[in-house]
Amino acid sequence: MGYRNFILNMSIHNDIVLGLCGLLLCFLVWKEVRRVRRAWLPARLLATVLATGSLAGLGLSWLEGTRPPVAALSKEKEKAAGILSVDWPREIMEGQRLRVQGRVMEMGRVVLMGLGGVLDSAKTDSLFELSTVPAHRGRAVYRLALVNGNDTIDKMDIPVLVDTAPRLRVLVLASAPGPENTFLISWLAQKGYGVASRVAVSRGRYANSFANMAERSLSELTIPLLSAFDLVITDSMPAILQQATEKGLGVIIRVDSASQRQPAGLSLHGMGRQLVLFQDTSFSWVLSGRQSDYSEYWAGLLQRAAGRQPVDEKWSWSPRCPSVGEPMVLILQKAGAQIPQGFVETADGLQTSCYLAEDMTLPFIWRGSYWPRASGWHTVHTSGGDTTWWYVWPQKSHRAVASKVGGMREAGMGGSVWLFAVFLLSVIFLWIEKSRLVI
Amino acid sequence: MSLFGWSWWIGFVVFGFSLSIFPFWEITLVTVVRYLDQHVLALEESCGLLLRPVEELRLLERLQAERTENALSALRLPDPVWLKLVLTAGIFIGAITFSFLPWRHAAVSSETPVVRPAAVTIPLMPGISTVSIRINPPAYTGRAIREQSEFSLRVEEGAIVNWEITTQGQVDSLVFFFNDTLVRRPIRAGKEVWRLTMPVRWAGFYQVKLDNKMSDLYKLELLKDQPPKITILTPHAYTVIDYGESTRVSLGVRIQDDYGIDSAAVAATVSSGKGEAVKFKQQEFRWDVRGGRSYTLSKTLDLTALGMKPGDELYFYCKARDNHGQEARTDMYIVALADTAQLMSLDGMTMSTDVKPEYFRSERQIIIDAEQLLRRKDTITVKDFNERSNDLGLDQKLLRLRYGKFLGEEAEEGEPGGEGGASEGEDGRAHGGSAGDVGDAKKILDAFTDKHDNAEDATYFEPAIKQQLKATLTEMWNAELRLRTGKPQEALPFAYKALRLLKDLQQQSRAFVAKTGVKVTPLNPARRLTGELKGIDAPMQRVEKAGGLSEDEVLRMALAILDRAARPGEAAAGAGAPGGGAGGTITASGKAAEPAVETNRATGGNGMAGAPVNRSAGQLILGGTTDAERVLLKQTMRRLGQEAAQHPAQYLDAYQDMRQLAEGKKVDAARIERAIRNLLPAAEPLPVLNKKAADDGLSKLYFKHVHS
Repeated sequence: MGYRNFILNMSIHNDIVLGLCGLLLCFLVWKEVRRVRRAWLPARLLATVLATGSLAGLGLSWLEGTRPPVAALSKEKEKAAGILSVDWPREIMEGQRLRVQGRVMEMGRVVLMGLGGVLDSAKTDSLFELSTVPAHRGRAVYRLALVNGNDTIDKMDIPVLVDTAPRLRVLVLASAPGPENTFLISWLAQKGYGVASRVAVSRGRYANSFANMAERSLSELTIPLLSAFDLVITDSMPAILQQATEKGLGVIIRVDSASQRQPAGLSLHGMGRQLVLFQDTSFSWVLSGRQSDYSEYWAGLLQRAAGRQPVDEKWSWSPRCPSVGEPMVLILQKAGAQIPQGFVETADGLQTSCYLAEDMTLPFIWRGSYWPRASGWHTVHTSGGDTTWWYVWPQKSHRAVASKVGGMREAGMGGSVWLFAVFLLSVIFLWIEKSRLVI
Repeated sequence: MSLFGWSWWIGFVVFGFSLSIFPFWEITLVTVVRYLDQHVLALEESCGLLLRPVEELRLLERLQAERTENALSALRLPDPVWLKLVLTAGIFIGAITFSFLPWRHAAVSSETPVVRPAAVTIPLMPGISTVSIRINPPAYTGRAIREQSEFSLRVEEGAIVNWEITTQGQVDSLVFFFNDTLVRRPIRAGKEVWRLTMPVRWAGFYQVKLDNKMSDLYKLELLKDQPPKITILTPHAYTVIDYGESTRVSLGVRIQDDYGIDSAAVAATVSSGKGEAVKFKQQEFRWDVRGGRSYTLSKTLDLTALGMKPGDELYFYCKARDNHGQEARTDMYIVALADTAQLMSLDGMTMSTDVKPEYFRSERQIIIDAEQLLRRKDTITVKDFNERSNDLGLDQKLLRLRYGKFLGEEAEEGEPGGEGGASEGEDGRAHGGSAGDVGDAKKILDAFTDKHDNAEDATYFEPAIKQQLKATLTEMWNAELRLRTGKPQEALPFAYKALRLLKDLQQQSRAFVAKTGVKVTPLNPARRLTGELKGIDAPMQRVEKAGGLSEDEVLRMALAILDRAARPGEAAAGAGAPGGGAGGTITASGKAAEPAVETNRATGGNGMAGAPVNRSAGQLILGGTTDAERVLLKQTMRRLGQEAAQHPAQYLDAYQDMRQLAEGKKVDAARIERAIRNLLPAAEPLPVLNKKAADDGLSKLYFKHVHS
């Protein structure tokens, strides 16, 4: 079991240990055979072999101890093989990359399959990372498999939930018209984001434009007006914007060489964030056809700078990968005095209630236990709240369930106590024989 | 690798043991003799005699030794020895071959588990016994008539295809459906034989309907006649012929077509003059081309024979026509003769704010002076001529160093040679130093140090400009060389080229735009220049994204629906799904309203209403989907149908699967999913609003305390 693994995974250090012990054995045996005294020769030879063999064993197990933990040395009764642990984001947004990372026990090729084909694969013997940009929108189940030639050693379902990105509402304030703002506004409008812009075109005259949102007066910036937006992109920073940032608004400030501010990075101001950028020409990427670079750049910036949208409820669960027939805990984070009640629905429409208890220390965390009976996608919601989808794995579908991170390593060198005892006894016998005390 | 090493160590140990048991170094002749005596009867146990020197032997022993020697020379290797040798050799060879056998469990195949689609021969419909299709390609292609007995077709555009179908038993009607829209009825040519002849002009798929049974979808691929491909091998897209270079341009063209080329020609236009007085003259040169498939043609264009002067330009392109009447042409190629008159003019130089100091001669001045010197060559002495030429060379050197400063080359501090100045040596070191310069350390050092390249100056320009500057400097150096050695006539071409490169460098960032007529509103002089903005309103713009789902979003959601409904039945123990769901069909009555998106954002407990899912392994039966989902799938099917009509090779199978799905049959969804993924563009990353779960004001409380 474990020995098959460590013999197969021998490295150069093992070779050195074995080689040296082999040489030592040859030398000692030769010396024993060459001695004049022939009494107890077979026993002496056996003791020599046992001594060097156990010394080699001790050396190897010490080397094993310096390696990262391996479940083979654990006390698990069943053979741990295949995929040891794996993790991926529970929920991703459209256009984001799904990264599946994990560890395998043996050498093989990990393959991520889904939507009718192979999405990514890699050859590994311990750690791996596979990634793909999911093409679907909604819920799908991919499959991760560890293969070796034509045999599938291990496989596991990977449920992937791709959500529509909740849209930001952006306000653009500019002191002069320019292509940078124009391209940004048209891109955001095309993708369905709410964009309002106020651009100074002359002394006291502003050009307003509204995309995917109702018109409103932008002539004066007030706190109620600004609270309707998640992000403001601007050239200068009046005091009212500073106040709004303290309350949670995100601000991107574009500076050029004439202004006093220096391009800094992201900084926190109160509850909001502030990102100071240099005015550059990223619109030229769109013109030269690099739309994906442009999207990635601005998506990253806007997402980092934007404020946070408060949601009333958030569901999560433990363990990470619940299975049929095993207990699990549903956790709700919700503010409010009323005791919430969870409703769990399976894919077939069966609905059960999940009763929640308040956490002992935090009043907004509620926990309830649940025993899934069916595998597949389930929903959970409170009455009147949003649904959250989650996945249940079939019973015993995968040996190394992802919640167990790595394997447990034997504390100390347990099995090698016996080796040490054998070594000690054989060496004692040889010494006694040599000094002819007893024999 | 390590496994191999392990067996090496074992072998080594075993070898060591065997050496101690069988010490081969102890085998001497005596041992051999003793062995032979024991084992070979013919030697009569007298081999020992052979070891002793001959002189020592007595008569009897000598006789015996002779006999033994004869017997020994006739001896073959004893059998036990043979056996041991053969056995050892056999084990050795066996071990070697065994060690080189591929170790199955150590090697990991590096191939992904690829599903290899089996080579499918589409079986004919049950009611059809044979089909014979004759394809008659158009005459101009020159291809022969071919026949095939399969329905899926790959024909040239415009080919006439003749189907002859023999059915099993008599059928009442046989109809062809092309791309789900076009209907064709074949003629009955016998009791069980039907014929249809049709020219094929579009790609797609077709089906045959026998009485009431519809066949599978068969591919109809079209091989279009491509226009000829023309590549101009020489010259480059833009060439400039400088003063002194040859004015003959060799043009090399390669033309290729799939069926045949009818004609090939060069259309050339000569433009002379500048500005509004430009004149164009067009000409055409034809090649004699007789309908082959590939030609490499060449022609020499003599610019002076075409009547071109310095400053004129020749624009030409090549065009070719294939035997189907399609024409192709290349881009416009330009050959220009360098305009020396324009180079010498001062246009554009007066706009520059740099005023050059007088004592730096410009390149233009050097050329003027050189030409003047050449005109006066006959009236002055040779010595005078060489001196003046040398002076011009010095001027050129100063100019070169001046421009070279930008590349970080050495900058001369010394005085220029001047006309008639007696300058000895190359470096114009200041020998006119006054007494006041004694305390000036810099001046003293200047006299004795040799300033090397200044690396700081070398980084001022970007690499492209530095390349051009380097080329300019090379030409200047060539001109200087020839001027200093008294050959101004040879220096002229280099000077002209240097001037042209310098002009290019200085003017490369300028763009000249043609003047067009502009109609503007007439100015109101009363209001003009007052700066009043009365009556000017602020512009307002309103944009709304079109509601509903875009095409891509529909496809993406359909992917999720197909994937979900096709999960194999993994719910082993305790799957609450009652089996055998009714196959849902995609109805035409589904409304085209925006369907509820099945994500976390749906409000209310929106579970999967509808018939329970049938989880047979890998097969998809469309139960368990809502009406909204079926509408999405119908839209997807329509889209796949359009793509299958245009690219049947890629999408026809998936379209067929989806049609069968719509009819309620069991289908493998993998092919449909792959086809949809093929259609979709890569997903674009979008900025996302991060959510913050409510925490009853706890984080606000922390924040307040931290900041207070």
